[in-house]
Amino acid sequence: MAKAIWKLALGEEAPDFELQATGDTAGKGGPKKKVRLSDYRGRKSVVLAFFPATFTPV
Amino acid sequence: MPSYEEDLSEFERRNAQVLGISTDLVHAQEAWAKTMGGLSYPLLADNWPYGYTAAQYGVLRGDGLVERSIFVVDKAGKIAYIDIHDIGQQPPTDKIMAALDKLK
Repeated sequence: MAKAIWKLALGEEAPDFELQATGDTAGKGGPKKKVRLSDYRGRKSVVLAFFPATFTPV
Repeated sequence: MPSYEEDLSEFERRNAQVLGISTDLVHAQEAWAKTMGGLSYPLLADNWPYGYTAAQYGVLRGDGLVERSIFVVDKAGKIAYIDIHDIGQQPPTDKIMAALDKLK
């Protein structure tokens, strides 16, 4: 099994990113937007949930 | 991903924003979320370059698939919790909540 090569450690700075995203409520037709992780700094905790491709062919 | 819908008020209570990330294009994510009746959080498209953000977090596998994984980032931008799971499994929500509780 091809595993990921390296991992981040607790307490490290989370790599910032800016990604194209659905609206605030995915699947409800809201306007698309960009989401930048560092925009939440000082305001909210963030739960990043990475998941495999949505329509993965079996 | 769908299971977080039920927990959303729990995340809100802890002042936490859920961001779902996959390598799909936004229009595919939107369509997928719609089939589930919509979600209460955004889905982010990590597709250009493909899986770049996943790679930065160490969850892009050599075969191009992304590990099902959770990273809790605190308000200071530091990683407070990591949970990397087999693709077929759902990370336990109670542990995520416990990690968020510790941030208060």
